[in-house]
Amino acid sequence: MLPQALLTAEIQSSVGVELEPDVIAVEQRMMQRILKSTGDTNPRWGEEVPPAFLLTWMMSGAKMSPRLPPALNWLMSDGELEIVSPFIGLLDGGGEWEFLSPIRLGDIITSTMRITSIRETTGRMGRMLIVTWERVHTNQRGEQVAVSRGTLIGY
Amino acid sequence: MQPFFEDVAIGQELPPVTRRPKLMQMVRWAGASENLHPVHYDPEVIRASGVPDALVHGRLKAAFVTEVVTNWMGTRGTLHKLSIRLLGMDFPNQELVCRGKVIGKPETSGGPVVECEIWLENPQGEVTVRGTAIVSLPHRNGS
Repeated sequence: MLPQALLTAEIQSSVGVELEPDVIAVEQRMMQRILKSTGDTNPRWGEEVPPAFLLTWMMSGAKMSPRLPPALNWLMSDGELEIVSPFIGLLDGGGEWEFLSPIRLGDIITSTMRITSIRETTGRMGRMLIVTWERVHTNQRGEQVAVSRGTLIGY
Repeated sequence: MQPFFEDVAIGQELPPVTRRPKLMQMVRWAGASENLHPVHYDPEVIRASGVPDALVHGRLKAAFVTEVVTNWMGTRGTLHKLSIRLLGMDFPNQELVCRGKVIGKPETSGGPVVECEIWLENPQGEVTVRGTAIVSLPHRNGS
């Protein structure tokens, strides 16, 4: 059973918190894995990276951030972290991506994630916490190449 | 074939993309995206979650619908913005048809910009992904 309040003061204080940056070297094998998993055979995607590259980049992976309380770490890891969480499950509500400049093989992308809002609501699955986030993606020359935003629902 | 801005009409449908994801494809996506939530592949967790089968990842479905636009826009088109709402569940071995149509040529953008609606239909006729994409296309005169 869920606790009385999902939106605790500790969780609320995470709004605006920036997580430790992720750094990824864009390499061919990674691209091949993404293209094979989507079935996208468009010949354009060689040197130029497909949009799916940024679609894959949502969660924090199985990394615990000391900057977030456990419940949000659980949500941000897609439930992968084996930690105590007030949630039974989570849903991906979708997102938005702005592609500002092409990403190419060999680029080194630094992605910084920030929690932008948290609210509690009640829906068909009972009480839910709706968390929105934003990621800013920058290349090795310091150019902003993309911004992505998303919504996670913990219930 | 490369579409040109001048030739595109509002209401024009884009060629559909059809996918029938198998569990193996979903596991491939789980690995590529590091989205390892077991509800996408582990029978015990799937049963405990009360869903009839493994859930196709929302972002994988988002990638499928994005292909409608990236396939259509050609090598000289550019995808600027994508918005995706995940509206429902889909399961492996079902045919998912991704469609799109042109809904606007916003003059305020100052460039040869086209707005498209994109969506995914499952075999039950439900739209489980819906979104929009903003792309720019080349002019016929080469600019």
